[in-house]
Amino acid sequence: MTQAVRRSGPVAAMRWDGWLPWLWLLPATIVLAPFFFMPLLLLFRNSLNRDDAVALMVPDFTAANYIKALTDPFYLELFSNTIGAALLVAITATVIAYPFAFFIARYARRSLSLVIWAVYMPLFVSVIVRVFGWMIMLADSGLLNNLLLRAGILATPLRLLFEVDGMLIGMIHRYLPLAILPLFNAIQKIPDELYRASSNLGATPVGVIRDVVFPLSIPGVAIGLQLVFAGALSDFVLPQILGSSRFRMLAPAIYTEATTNMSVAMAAALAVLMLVFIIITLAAVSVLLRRFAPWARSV
Amino acid sequence: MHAPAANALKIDGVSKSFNDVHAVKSCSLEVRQGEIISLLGASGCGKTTLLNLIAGFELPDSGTIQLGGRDITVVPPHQRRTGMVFQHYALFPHMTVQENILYGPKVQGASIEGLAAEMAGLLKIEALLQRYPSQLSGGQRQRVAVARALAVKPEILLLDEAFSALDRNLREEMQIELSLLLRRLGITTILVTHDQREAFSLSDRIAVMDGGQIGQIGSAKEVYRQPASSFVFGFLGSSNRMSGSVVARNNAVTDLRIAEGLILRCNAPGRALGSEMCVGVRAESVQLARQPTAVHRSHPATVSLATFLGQTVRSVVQIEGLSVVSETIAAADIELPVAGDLVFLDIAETAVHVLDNPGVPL
Repeated sequence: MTQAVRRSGPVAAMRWDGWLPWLWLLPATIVLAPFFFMPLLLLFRNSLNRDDAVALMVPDFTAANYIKALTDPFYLELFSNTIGAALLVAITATVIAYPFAFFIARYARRSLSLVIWAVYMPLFVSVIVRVFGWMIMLADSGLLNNLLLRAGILATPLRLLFEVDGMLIGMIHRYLPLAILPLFNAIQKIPDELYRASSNLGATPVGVIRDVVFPLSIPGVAIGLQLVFAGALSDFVLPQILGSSRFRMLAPAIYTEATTNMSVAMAAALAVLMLVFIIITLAAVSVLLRRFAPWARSV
Repeated sequence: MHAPAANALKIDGVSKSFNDVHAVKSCSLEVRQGEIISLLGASGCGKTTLLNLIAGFELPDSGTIQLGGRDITVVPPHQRRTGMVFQHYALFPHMTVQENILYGPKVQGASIEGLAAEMAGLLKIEALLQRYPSQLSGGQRQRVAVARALAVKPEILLLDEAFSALDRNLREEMQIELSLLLRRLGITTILVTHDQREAFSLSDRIAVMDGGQIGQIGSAKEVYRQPASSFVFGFLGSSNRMSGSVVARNNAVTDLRIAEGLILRCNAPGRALGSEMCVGVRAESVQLARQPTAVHRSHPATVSLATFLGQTVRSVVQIEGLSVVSETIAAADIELPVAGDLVFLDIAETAVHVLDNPGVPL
């Protein structure tokens, strides 16, 4: 009945039906098109230009910046440092987040909203403020070293601040909520009946987690890894303030390239490469997920 | 291994409270080998808690549970050898049908040789073995859930409202098929349901539960025809409650005046003349007649609503402010009651259940 009416209805109404829903995207498009996609395109165009010591950026159409970035040992070390640190942070944050997420999803009943709020809380505080907090904690005469020295665990203070270690600690702390929240969401969605079914069929409590909880939380693990990896890879503040100048990271290097070295085209090429790394990783995780968790699409 | 009359399951005085709520109150139940028993009751009557106590998902506050002669009261669920079919089936979404079926035997270290095919054959799901649960219909999921529970060769099968998620036609089809299968395999089964029809069509005996207690246990005929309590009477079928005063008594029978012209006779000795009594009559025991009957001699009642239900007609009849529900056979050659008809009620003496019988716990 409705089918027949719709078919015989005015043609104009059908056209409206077709594209009307897309209007919902209009506000976002108005903001994103001029302020995100356009600059991104300009950035890409700049990366094909040539830097000149005197004339600064010279219009050109060359892949020289990319070739240099992907062959010069200086830049290759930059990439391996950054990707390595981002991977380490992503994996460590996920490992720390997992038991915590499992606990709040399964056992935090009355305290749930408080604990979730505590997870979100750091996101409300400026990262600069948190970095200064870590400086106080990690300094040679800081809280951590003070405690370890007084307890007699250390004889000389650990050098953490302005070293890779301090930067990694700060990064893990900064991105931990991004690992916890998707994991919490994935674990919370596993119905109680599945835990019971698994143990009814003979699985020990450890078996239930291994066979049911962990596989079903893999989509959450993947999202957390992706978010933390992308964040750590492009982080500027933490390497700049907590990190070491001997362990160079990509984002501060781009900044130095563009401001100190006046190599805007090279900086643009590095920025495009960073984006490509992130896209490749996100795509790789999605492909792996489809391959090893084919059920996840239909859940 | 067991003597023929051995009890597969023996529950003795089991109680369980949650905070201040007594979910199960000193329940005792013995289930024979190969028997199918239903725990029938309204939601909140404790039937699911009792099932969870048997499966080990909850531990009782007191009492003991024995399965196959072994005390399992505090044994953790994974060592109990019960097979549970959950209300929403609880299939593992990340495993195919075959992986779901073989999961139990695998974690228990049992042989899985030919098991998937055997279980699939029993439940006619051979074509579905490589599918994921999300690709199955409700009926297919239920079949997989039963196959998975049977694959561990459980000592007892537990069905928790296992049919409630299915459409009516499919539900009845599955009930018949499963009933035949369970009897063929001779597997001891406990079925939790709130659906009287389901309990009656599947089980050998029915335990009617109310307020955490088993009110009566017996065959479908017994609990329906000889209800042990006013709750059991009211819970099964559709029934009328009427009260009246004793107008005559003679040995074992008592005559009760329900309304002007309507005097019911019931089997209840020892009532004082003029005392009030409450009786119950099932809707299908209330027949409608055009002429005065032995119990309804004058002052006809008025049909206020008559609903055609296919096999029967359900009529609501008004008599002195009392509404009486009657369900009569709707054969093609019988004139059916319609609203506004004047009718006389006919109720057999054996159909009148005395509901308040002080001193004698019925």
